[in-house]
Amino acid sequence: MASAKRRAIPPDPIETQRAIFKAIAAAQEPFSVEAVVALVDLPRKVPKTQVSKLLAEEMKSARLFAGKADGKKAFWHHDPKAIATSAILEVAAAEVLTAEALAQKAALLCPRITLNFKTLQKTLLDNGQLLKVKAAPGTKATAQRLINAERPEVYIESEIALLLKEVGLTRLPERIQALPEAESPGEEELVRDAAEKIFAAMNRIAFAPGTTVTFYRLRQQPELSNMPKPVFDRAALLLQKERRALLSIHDHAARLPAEEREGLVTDGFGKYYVSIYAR
Amino acid sequence: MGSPWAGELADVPGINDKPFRTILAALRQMRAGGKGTSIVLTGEPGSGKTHLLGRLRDRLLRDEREDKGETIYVYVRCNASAGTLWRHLRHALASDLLKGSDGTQLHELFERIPDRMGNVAHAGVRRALESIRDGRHFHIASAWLRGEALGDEDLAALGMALADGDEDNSRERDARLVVEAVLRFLAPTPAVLCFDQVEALETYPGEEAGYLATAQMVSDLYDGHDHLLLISCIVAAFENRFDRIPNGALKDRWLQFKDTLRPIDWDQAVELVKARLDTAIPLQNLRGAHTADPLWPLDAEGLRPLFAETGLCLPRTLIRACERQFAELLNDEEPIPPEGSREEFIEEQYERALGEARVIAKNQGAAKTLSDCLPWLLQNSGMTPLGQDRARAIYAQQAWRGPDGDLALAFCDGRGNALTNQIRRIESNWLKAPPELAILRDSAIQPGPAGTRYLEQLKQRGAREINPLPEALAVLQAIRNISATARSGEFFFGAEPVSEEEVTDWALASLPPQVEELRAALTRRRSSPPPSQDRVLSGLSELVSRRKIIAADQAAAELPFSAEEVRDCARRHPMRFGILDGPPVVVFEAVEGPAR
Repeated sequence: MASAKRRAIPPDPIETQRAIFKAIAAAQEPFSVEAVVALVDLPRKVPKTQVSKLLAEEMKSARLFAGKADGKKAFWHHDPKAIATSAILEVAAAEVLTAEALAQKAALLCPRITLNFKTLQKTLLDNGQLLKVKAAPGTKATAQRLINAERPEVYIESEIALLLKEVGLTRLPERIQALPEAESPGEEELVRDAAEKIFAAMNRIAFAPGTTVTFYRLRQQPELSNMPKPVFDRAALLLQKERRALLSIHDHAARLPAEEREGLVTDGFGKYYVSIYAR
Repeated sequence: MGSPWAGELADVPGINDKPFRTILAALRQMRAGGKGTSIVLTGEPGSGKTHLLGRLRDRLLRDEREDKGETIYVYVRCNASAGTLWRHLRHALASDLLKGSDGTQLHELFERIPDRMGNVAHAGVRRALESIRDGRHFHIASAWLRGEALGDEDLAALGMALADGDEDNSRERDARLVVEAVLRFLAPTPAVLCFDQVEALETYPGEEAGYLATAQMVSDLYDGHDHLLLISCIVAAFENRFDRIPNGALKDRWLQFKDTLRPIDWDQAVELVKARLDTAIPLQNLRGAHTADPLWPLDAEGLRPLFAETGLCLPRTLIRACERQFAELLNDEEPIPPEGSREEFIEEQYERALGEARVIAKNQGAAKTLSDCLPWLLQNSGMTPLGQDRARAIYAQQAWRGPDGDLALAFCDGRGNALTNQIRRIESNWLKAPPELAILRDSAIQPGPAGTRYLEQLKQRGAREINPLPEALAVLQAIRNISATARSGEFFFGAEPVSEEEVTDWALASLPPQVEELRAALTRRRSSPPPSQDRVLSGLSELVSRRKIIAADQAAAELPFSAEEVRDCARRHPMRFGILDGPPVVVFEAVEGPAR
């Protein structure tokens, strides 16, 4: 048979895309386009314009996010808004600060992020994740302060201590900390830590960024295999609540054998989820 | 969405743009001379999987109109089973190639590259394609290409009456050879095979054999053909079935690329609703006066709560909310309750599906209908499927364990020599119980003398013959179709989804007597009717199916039975025969008609 002349095959955009996102998913910080081109290991050289186009498409689909690297526009698989939000809430849980001080402190925790932290704080106030409380007592300051609505322990402890002081009583800090009926910080910490592990594993094993990973596969990862189910489930739900990931609902879980249902994530109110993917 | 063939789509290209680009990139690669690939798309019910396939079809048509390249598009809804996949693909492939009012895709192919036929080594496919090309025996050739059962005369008309030795091939193997030959005929034109609702492969909830069989089929297609793009869509809830495919190599070939269809954000929602409203002709003049409000006459604030939890919403959820709001506007702002109860709604849908199912069951043959639909009935009758067994697979398509022991099921729906060969194969390979054997076949199709002899020998050795009525097969097919729709999250009563479980509960409580008779025959404690009764039924069924109406005396004269035996048989089987007490006593064929 005579050999047919074949047209040269252009670089495969899907292959290129996969290699790029594998590299970005493994990165700890945003990448500039140049850094991406240098980093990606491909059999053929891929022009910078093509990489930029692919990155722009992914940003449009909210699978990649804009950041800064050495003063240049850069790309990251983390959502800067989610990271900034998380930083604000963490600081607001640890200290009772004015809006100005809170924004400054949170921004210091995320040097790569150039978002307006005050605008974010306003959104968090509007949706009830932050609460305004009175100005600091015993000072001339008049600005109200902000606290984390779900983790108000530090504020409550300081207020209880002040009340006790007013009537001439003193109590050990441990006794005051035991008063508010809140979830133990240890458990909260555990769930947050689990959420980070799930998020990292999801990005690592996803077929491509933003594609679903079943909880069945996630639970096979060494770092997640021994995690208690309630912690795993709460951590997965936390990722959705913080809008870092989406969970795919399983609409007929009640009909599944108990063993199979156990492998799904549940909110405890009858909703079951089968897989997770990055937003 | 029902099918991507259904009319023009109000489409917003920005929605699910990423997976669509993945498909287009693979297509470009193939058109540039690269090999095709396999892409799996996952997403929640209502995320737009079928819509995306429709978008692809429209794009391919546009490319063709603009001379950017021709591509064959084939849509396969996967309501098949592990043992019938190739037949199912053959039917879908042939049906789509023959679809179209302004000349079929096939005719266009003949015109563009006339010497394509040189690629076809399969004699049957070559003859069928030549007949279609030349306009000879078009309907018979089309039916053959789709895999529908044909009589020996029709086969002879096509010039392909089979030699004795060739007829014993399994239907699946035949179907695969036909599919492969048709795909070679299509090359080098790229072809896109879209497998939608992959989860419908489960003949009963939790059955996994269909996924492995599909992985095998996709792998074979990928390995054997360079110009094929394979796209499979599956509901996210069933994605973990991929994790359980035991053969990693097959799974990797199926999942060469994967993408997930995502819910939409508010901006995309506005675009989608606007696009839908813009296509509503009665609204066009009215909307002109509200250009500042893209969603007019809908209330945006009424839709925003759909986005409260995650900031995103599934396209179908949004569209249903819009439909509701619109209906309320038309109805003096009162919500319109759906008419009737949920059960009545399911029944109504079932009745609609039944008409189509009668045609499907008739065309595809009893064996495929039984393979695809019987597991649902047996599994819901307390029986459990037995695993694969190489020796058993030679003579039986399925095997089940019931309270009375194991039962192998052999489905025979051939005609003429093919039927004789099927029965002979069963006779020479079934080594007596266990398992017991039930041969399911249409009593109206009589085997020849040799086939009758083999059948008698089987019965003497303890095998049972069960004759499902055509209506029983149609009912099972209809239940299968609406269950699959419910499983894919596409079955709605007003705004509320109807679950597969509800459909199953309704169907089990409403089984018509034809299906109850089949269920009883398969699940009751083993006992066969006296062989003489069996022979009368078989003979009378065949005669009445040909003559439709006949006097009992005349039937007795034509059959080796007495008039009394004929009358008794007709009275014992009221679902098969009608009887008019004359004189003379007349027997006629009982045929199920549409409900009045």
